Amino acid sequence: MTGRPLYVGIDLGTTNSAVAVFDGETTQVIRNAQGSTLTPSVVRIDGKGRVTVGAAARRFLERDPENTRSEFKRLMGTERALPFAASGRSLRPPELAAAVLGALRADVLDQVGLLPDAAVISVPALFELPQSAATSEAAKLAGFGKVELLPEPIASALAAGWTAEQGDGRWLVYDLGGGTFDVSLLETDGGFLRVVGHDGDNFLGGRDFDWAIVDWALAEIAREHGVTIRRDDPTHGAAIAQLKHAAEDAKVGLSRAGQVVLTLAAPLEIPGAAPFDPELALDRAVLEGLISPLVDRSLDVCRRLLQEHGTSADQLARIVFVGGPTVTPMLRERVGHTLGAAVAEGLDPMTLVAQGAAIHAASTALDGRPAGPLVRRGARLWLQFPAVCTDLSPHVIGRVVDAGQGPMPSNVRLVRGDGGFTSEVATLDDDRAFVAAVELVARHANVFEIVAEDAAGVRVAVDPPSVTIVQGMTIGDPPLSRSIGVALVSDHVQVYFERGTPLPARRSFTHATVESVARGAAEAVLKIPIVQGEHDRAHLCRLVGTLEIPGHAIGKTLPAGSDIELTIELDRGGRMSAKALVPALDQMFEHVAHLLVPAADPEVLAASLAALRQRVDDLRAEAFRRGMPHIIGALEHAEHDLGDVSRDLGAATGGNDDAGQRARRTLLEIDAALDEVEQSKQWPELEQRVVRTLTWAGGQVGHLGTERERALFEDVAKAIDRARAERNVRELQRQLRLANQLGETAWYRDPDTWPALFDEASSRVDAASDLPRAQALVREGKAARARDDGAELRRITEKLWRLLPHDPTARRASYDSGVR
Amino acid sequence: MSALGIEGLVAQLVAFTAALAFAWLLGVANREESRPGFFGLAQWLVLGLVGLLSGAMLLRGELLGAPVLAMTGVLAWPWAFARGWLIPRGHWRAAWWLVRSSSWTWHDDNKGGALVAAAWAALRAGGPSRALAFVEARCERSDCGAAHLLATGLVDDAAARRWIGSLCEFEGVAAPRMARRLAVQWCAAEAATRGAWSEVARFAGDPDADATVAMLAVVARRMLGAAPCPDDAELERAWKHTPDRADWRPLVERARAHRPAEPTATPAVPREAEPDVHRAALLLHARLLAHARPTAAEVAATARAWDRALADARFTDGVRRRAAAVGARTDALAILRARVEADLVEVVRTTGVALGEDPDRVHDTLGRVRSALHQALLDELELVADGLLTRVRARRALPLHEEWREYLALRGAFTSAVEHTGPNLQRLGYAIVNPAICALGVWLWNDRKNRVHANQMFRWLLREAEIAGDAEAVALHRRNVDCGR
Amino acid sequence: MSAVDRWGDNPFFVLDLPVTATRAEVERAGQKWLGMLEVGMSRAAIYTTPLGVRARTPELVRAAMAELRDPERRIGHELWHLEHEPPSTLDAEDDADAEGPEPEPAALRILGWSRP
Ligand SMILES: Nc1ncnc2c1ncn2[C@@H]1O[C@H](COP(=O)(O)OP(=O)(O)O)[C@@H](O)[C@H]1O
Ligand SMILES: [Mg+2]
Repeated sequence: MTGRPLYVGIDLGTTNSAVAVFDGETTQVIRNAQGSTLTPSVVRIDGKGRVTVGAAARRFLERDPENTRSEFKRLMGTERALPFAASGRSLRPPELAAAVLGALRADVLDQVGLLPDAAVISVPALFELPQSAATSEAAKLAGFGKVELLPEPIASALAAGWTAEQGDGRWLVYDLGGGTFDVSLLETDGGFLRVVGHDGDNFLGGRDFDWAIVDWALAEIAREHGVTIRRDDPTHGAAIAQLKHAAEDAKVGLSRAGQVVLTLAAPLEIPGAAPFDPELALDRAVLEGLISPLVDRSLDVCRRLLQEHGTSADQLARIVFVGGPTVTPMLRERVGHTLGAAVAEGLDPMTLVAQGAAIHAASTALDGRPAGPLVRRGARLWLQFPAVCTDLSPHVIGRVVDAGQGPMPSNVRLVRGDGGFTSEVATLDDDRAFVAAVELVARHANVFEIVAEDAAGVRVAVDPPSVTIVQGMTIGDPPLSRSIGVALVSDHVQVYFERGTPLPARRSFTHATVESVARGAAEAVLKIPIVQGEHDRAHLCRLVGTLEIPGHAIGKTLPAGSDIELTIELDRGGRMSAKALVPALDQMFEHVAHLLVPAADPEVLAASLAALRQRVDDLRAEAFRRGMPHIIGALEHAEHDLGDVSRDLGAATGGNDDAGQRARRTLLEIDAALDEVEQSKQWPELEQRVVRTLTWAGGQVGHLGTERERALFEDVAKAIDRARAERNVRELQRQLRLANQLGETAWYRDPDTWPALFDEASSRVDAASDLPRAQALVREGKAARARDDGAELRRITEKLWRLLPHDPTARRASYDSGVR
Repeated sequence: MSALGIEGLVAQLVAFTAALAFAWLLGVANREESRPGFFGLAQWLVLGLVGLLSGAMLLRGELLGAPVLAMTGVLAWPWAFARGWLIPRGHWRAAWWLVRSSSWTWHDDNKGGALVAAAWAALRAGGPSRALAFVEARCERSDCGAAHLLATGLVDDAAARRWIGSLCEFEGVAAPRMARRLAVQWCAAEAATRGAWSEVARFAGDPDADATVAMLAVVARRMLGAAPCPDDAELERAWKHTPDRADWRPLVERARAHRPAEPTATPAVPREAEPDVHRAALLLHARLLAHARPTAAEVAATARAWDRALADARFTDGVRRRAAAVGARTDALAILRARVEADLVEVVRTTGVALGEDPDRVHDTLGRVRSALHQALLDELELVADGLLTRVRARRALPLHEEWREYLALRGAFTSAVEHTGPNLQRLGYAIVNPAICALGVWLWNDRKNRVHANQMFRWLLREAEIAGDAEAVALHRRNVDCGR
Repeated sequence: MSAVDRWGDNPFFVLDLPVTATRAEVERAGQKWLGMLEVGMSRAAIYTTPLGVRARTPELVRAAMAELRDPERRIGHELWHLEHEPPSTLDAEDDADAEGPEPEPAALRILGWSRP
């Protein structure tokens, strides 16, 4: 390899993509054939099967939507393939993304003269494993040999930090894209960058600005031309698309000019009205009025994030804007003003992410140059040093792997190119290795010559002869965006990797099986579900893979309680692998059924919507009955969200996958909120139960209990008091059960009890599994009662109970987990 | 041949009476239901007759009588022959065939007996894989009898102690006596190889203990020096009655030479002369984690050291100042406290220290550890019980010995949980395990006809219900246990 | 994760740093250990803790660096730092008498219950 290194960073955006290269000192954003730094993430396949990408394809988005696809990034990780009607092909999201990445790769070749083999690709901060894996797959399909993924906010921060003067403090990266909003809180401390937290809204973006303008235009048209155009009327679809396009142009135009006119490519055609051309003038003031509710929504998210991390406005050093819509002057001003922090100027919001990704490629030494022929010059060294480094005095570690023909070096020192520094002489140890501390000049590429001498003090040639270390901001290893763990049978999650864990990572835990799996049993299978998310309840997290141990694959019966040593591994590209070692079987299981993001099936969603509605209704009824006003508010909130879901569901049924995904996520959120509500009312309920149980059971035991039972009851009552003092829910429930049991035992002794129980059981006799037998028992029971034979009546009632259905066991929510 | 007629008749009569007397004797000796079946009786009658006839032939000088007599002998005492000749030589297949006809020794369960013979012979043959597979396959398929547990244990090195040990605990002998006798012998010998003499001593009172076990128990008591410590004469007496006593002589000699050590006082936890309360707590904590068998006193000392540290204003203020300096907002002390408690709970659980109950001390570290332990044990018990119950309700059957293993596992979890804490857990835990084991027992009894194992489960549930004072459960399981009679 | 691992993996032990180490010192030490492990220097392979000697791996080093970057977590680890003491030897000696006096290893064999 010769010349300067080539570090490539790619921002694979929902709307636009960009690529930048970094040579160790400066970044350069690559222009495409059209001379633009932005390549729209749009792919078109025409009737002849020709694939076009970028601006050329984008032009067809309105005209030929059947053969032109955009926004496929939102479908990454799903199994949905998008059809191209004319060519008859249909491509999965990674294949579409690969087309865009391929085009960017070709642009680098055009501009730099090298076809890169490695790159860093940025992904949204909250991408989950299946989505990351799909992105890695896209890169492979586009011909990249090595890729690494980097969260977008970190990329932005790196790029911003690279150019900015050193200044410690917290800062906010505000990334508003075409359809998503991400905000991240970062912190620099002595030049070291750290991600403090993320938040965002997956359904807020420039697109919503466009729709706000369209709605305004529709109102204006109705007012001026008396023509009513409706967004939900399919016959108005073409006109709406035209308006939307014009709205976007107007919005972009207003970022530069104070006033623009909404210009349409052709006059609007509405069924039942003459074609007309509404010349609508839009100025900044109107636009501000239209988008300010949307900006406020984003500000709420920012405030939530700041509050969560205890950062007050005056602690915030600056704000970095990323994404097309943040070019809007009013938005910058308003966000900056509201959050009370300086706005970092001089950064290109559209390409910042790509630049940061390129810088990151340098710090992980992901050189994009294709491997060249190897030239040997002297003793070969295996060197370890940071290519980019924040620390001003890092270490260079090396080992002689092959002395070649020449003499063996015995000591080494490093001399900085500017002559201002020479390291101490490091002697090679028994491993023929050395460690040398060097000192860097800040914000420069530092070249160090490696001076090696043999035992006699004669200089020895080494290969490589020098190392280059760039001083600047780095982030180290890419952090994991969401926690990953294993769902346990108790619906808890055993966290393997917490959010922020540096990748790659590997961890092992030992679990125990809860049920025996018989050898060869076809239907018996032990499942180990792997989930991702921040909830401590497994069913609220996303299932990202399942490791299965099927009965047919095991050598002998696997008894309940057997150990399973599970190891999960994540690589830097977000790919997960897992293996389970079962010592009892002396077998290893590695096959993980990787899951895609489940397609949002409207029917399934409708069912869970109905179920949640029911739950809200039940809770509210209960809240009113028991006078618990504090939960009514939460329920109203949930109710409101359910309304949103049902609207999205309508859109999803009409084929809008994105709305379906949003509905799915909102449903999960509501589920979590209701869980919380239930938990908050659990304690008062329990307290009431304590009083009831103690009175009733205490009465029974005192009246009919034996000496022993009375003593036991006293103990239980004490334990109940203690659990109450500790506010320990589970313990309290257990002790209450015990108290009840004691009460019942005593109560059964009461001669009046069994007739009542018998009556209750015989009233349910229709549900019995064996009706004739049950009826016979009822007859016998009646006879026994007539005889006043208490013991017999009890025997009969108990028999009757056995024939009646018992409560179905609670459903297992935790993805059928078979481990604890 | 005419003389044979009268002789034969006489012989038949003698054999018949002898057999009846024998059967009666056995029936008395063998408690409850397990006794030689009708087949055994018939077998003896026929063999007795043939034996007399062939004896008569031999007396009259007919040489044919000799092999017939020998054959009859083998067939009449198949177990003795298998045990004395076939098993030591590892003839597992022959042992299996022969013991199949051993209704006299193995009662209804001669199949199980045959398996025990085959497993034992296989063991002596060095465990050829064909033999092991043969036994394992039959053990898995079979659905009766306690002898299978013995056979399973003999071919399953890793779990032998669990299988055979559980057989020793069989109550009321719902199993052939031979199975139990062998199991007790095995368990006593196995405990002796580990040097677990207190376990050995406990077998002394077992109704099925044979002379060897009795001798081992005497040795054990001598080794332990437990009162009443047997004197040399008693040792010698026990040894005299032992079969193969020459082989045991070295052990007895050692026992005679053994002087039980004075019980050493448990070393007191050293007082750390450490002015820094935090460091003192860390040192004790490190000691505790490094210790394979800490005592309850050491756990308590560590907990107290942490209490002292966390109550020390100099330390806590220092931590708060430091947290502010590095920019941490969470309550570092609360996290420290939680981790200390989690560590202590883990130590107690993995090493089996018994903390006991102390209702008055609940607010210090030790009290919270106790309460967390209590929760954790119950949670685990619930999970295990729930797993079993789910499977039983779904009727997903396992091979019998695996069902038995599940029962043992749940029972073991319960027992160790009770040992860890105390009577309150006994009652709570019983309410958890009872439904699961009861359901398993009922299923085994009603649908799968495994009376032996189901009965054992009910017996155990009954015993524990009595301890827990659960009158309902006591009444229920009394009835369940009585079903077997 | 067991209590021993929780403590043994303490970042200050893994990186061999005092609790007063600055952010830069943490990064520097991490980078050094990673480099040394990568080229296979034997003196990087182990580290000592109050609970004994443990193996240092690149994963542990990376995780340790990440732990110390986060102030909330860092303070927690600081509280578990303890100047090394040679791990106590007392466990070894009291394991020996665990099973009581003098076992009889031949017992099963004499009764014919063992493999030949
Ligand atoms: N100058 C501009 N002023 C306002 N909005 C703009 C401007 N340029 C682009 N946009 C809007 O930015 C959005 C695309 O932003 P981008 O950051 O490329 O999105 P993504 O990150 O989703 O790929 C589009 O909605 C587009 O209309
Ligand atoms: Mg973007």
